[in-house]
Amino acid sequence: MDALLSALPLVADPSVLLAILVGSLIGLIFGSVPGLTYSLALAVVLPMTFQLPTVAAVGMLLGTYIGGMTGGSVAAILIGIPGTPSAAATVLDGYPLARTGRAGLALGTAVLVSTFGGLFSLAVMIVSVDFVSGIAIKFGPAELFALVLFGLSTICGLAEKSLLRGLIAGVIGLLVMTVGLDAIDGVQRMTFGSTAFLQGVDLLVAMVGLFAVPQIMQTLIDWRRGREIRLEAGDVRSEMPKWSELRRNFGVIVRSAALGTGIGAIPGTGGPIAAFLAYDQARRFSKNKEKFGKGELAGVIAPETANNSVTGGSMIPLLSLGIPGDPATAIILGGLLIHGLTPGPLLFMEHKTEVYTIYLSIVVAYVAILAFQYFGIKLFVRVLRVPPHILSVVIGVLCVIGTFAIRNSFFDVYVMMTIGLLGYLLMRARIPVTPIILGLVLGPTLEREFRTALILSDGSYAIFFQSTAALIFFALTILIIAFHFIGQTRARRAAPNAKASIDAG
Amino acid sequence: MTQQGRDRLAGSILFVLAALWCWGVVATIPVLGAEGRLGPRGFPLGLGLLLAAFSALLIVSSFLSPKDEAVQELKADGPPLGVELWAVLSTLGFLGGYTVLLWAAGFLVATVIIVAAGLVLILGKRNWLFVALMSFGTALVVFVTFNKILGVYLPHGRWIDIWF
Amino acid sequence: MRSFGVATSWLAASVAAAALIAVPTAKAQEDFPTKPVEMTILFGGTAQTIGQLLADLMSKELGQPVVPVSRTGGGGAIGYSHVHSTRPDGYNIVWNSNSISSGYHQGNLPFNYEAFEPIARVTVEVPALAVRADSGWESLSDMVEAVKSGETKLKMGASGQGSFTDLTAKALFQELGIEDKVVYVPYGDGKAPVELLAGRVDAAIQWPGQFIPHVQSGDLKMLCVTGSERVEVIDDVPTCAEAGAGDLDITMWRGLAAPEGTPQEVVEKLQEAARKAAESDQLKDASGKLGFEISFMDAQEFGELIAKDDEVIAELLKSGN
Repeated sequence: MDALLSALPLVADPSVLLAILVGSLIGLIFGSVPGLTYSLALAVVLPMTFQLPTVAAVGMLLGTYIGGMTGGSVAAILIGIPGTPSAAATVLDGYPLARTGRAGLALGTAVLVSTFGGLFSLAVMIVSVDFVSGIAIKFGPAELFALVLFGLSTICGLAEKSLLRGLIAGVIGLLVMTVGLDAIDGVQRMTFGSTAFLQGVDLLVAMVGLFAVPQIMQTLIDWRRGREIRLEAGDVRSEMPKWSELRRNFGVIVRSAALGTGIGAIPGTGGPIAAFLAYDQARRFSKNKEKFGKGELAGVIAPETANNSVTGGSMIPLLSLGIPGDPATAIILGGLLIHGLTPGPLLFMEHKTEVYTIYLSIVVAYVAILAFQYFGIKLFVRVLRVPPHILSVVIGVLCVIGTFAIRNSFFDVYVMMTIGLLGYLLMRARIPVTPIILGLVLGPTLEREFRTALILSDGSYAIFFQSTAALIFFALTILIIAFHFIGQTRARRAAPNAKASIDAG
Repeated sequence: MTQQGRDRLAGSILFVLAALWCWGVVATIPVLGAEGRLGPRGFPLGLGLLLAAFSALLIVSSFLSPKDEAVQELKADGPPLGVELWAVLSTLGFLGGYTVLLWAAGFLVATVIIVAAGLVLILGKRNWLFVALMSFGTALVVFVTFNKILGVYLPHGRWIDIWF
Repeated sequence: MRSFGVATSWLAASVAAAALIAVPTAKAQEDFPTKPVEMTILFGGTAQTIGQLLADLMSKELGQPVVPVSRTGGGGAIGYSHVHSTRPDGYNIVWNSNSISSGYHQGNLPFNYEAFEPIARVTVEVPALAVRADSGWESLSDMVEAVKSGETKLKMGASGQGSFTDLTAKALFQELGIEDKVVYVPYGDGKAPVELLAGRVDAAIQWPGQFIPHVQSGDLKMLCVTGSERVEVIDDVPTCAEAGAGDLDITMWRGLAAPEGTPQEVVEKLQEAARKAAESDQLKDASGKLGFEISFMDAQEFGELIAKDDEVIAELLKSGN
């Protein structure tokens, strides 16, 4: 309590509040442009914080991180292109909502549940940091492999009508990510001796390609055929979610928040996995499953709650063990270090006040983001009044710049285009795109943890069945697949001529 | 083309690609699988084989599907091939052209040119004032927000480099 | 149609302006720099943070911004290739490291260190070997004894094959003569310390900064550092050579280099800017906190060091595979 009281005036200092606000705004902007994410935002902000006093600097970094995580939903909902990988699942229902003029509702809900998720995970962290980090540390390569495999099982839910098509998509995603320099043995894979290929396919590059390129093509087709969907001024409402709506989804919100916090706490996983798992569970337990993918609000709520809960969750290993879970938290770690805050077991004893300033900064950042978004939504939805074909020119420019900015590589832009074309062709062949994303997100971790586990066990596969955590995740994976088949068989029996039966499997 | 036909086409193309991939993996990636560990070849090869198997299944399943639905002509509202080809090539031309321009002429010049070209050549806009406002406007707004305010690095041109 | 004419003349003007900028003159070298200098950064994490800080400090010296541009991937190969392909005029420099040699000798780069003009070494980082505090190993020789007499192999956590900590681990165990009783477990993103904490590996080689908090809390113990001298912040930890590992001396340096053929005067200007930055309080302050050491070396000495280290790394990679 003393620590909290001494931290309060430190954070309430106007310059600190300003730093957090600026950070949140920068994060929001980066988050909402496809290709630009909080990782880049943090790298840009870090030098700015060199000059600042500790509390302001840390506040600015945290604001940027949280703003970036929240901002990802804006582009996902408005233009159907996720601003960050963590928002890829938000597109599924957020974009259809926007197309029917309910962008305001989707955006408003997204920011509210994001805030809830963030604060929920913060609370969990404050109460149980030691307990959670104790569990997180038990997640070795074998357990992580099991967890990621469980994540892949959500392909069943995302595959829409045909599991076979979903699997094809998932495998393509996994396959693409093996190109480049192998992280374990340092061997070149499918690079054909070219240096440019060594950098491999970046997740963000592939994601921008898969979402943006087919969409620009589709917009042009619709426009040329005079079928462009144009929302008139009156159609774009900036309605806010009603409490009843949120209350109805309370179960989804709490489950997603818990899931996000848990996944965030395990180093090496992160936002996208949490978002997809949350989306899948929301759909699975929902009474109106068939509405998912067509503009169901719970389909926005689940991933957005989960990905922001990851922020608090990832602070647990970062602060208590000094382990960054992803590149973004690695930059935050650098910022903490440079200001003399060395994360680790001693941080909570020797720098109690600073730890509380971190907690308070997170709260302030969420308040700031809530305010920014509340006023921003009215502005954002105006984007929808721009005719899509004109907007697509600007989207094209931003996507190229965003892709380039990830690693300042022109090669990446060509990769983005190639993957985009591939994505379009696959879509025309009725192969769903979302499982590709899942494959891209999970592929590198899946392979790396699997191979590392085998190195640890000297080649014995028994390592995968020796821990309870791994067994639980394997069991869950099998359960989900089994349920999927039972569900499909039932649906087929109920409607023998249903479309679902076209695609065996 | 029927749905059935399209599935067979997609399945065949994917199968050929998967086969090529597997050949590439075997030809270029060393095994390095000593001490019972899975080397760098295992995953790419396994995934390639899976893709081949799944695409073969897609072809097979197209033969098993109920006749009445499968042979149905694809919905008439699919885009005409000409329009589709135009959209695909325009998009790729726009993005690719922009990238080349960025490399050669840097952000400002490239953006002004490509936005104008997109509006005029692809979308057929002839309102010059609108085209000028859009192209210069996009370039300036992106430049100021991202480069000047947020400090994101934007490409400088190799041949022409206009900057401020 | 009139606006089309405007556009054409505008384009012509810009081409003319570019031509003016692009023509190199003798005077350009004296005035260097007349435009921003691009510093390519090859890696994320600490390398990026120090690079950004250095760029910031050098900007003040040069009177033109030094812009840190991150070009990561391929173990540094992407960034090296980019800088290699630029004009040798000093406006494109690279924040380099030993990775130039490891990249080349692993076949990931078509050119070696000779394709670059060294400017200055700025910092060094020395890996450390750590074990769990409850392992019962108080010194390096304790560990070596245990491994020699034990049945099972020592599980050794470092970063992936060809990374600097991996090379260090191989060199150390070769020197100790127990390399066939060691299993190298590659981890990414600096995860090796947690894996050591959790007991999944028996020892880890990473940067001291990653171990220090856990050493302070009493969970881990550092047995030695791999350089020829002790590290300032942890001067109670012996060097591996002192602890019985022959004359092992493995240190990772970071410095600046420009494409081959960069004029000597330009290199000198950059070298002096780097020297000033290295002497600044700000970099010194950051070094203590981020866990690196400042160790300036001018262009000539730096060139000799790179050549010497290149041989060592070539040898290590040859025997490692």
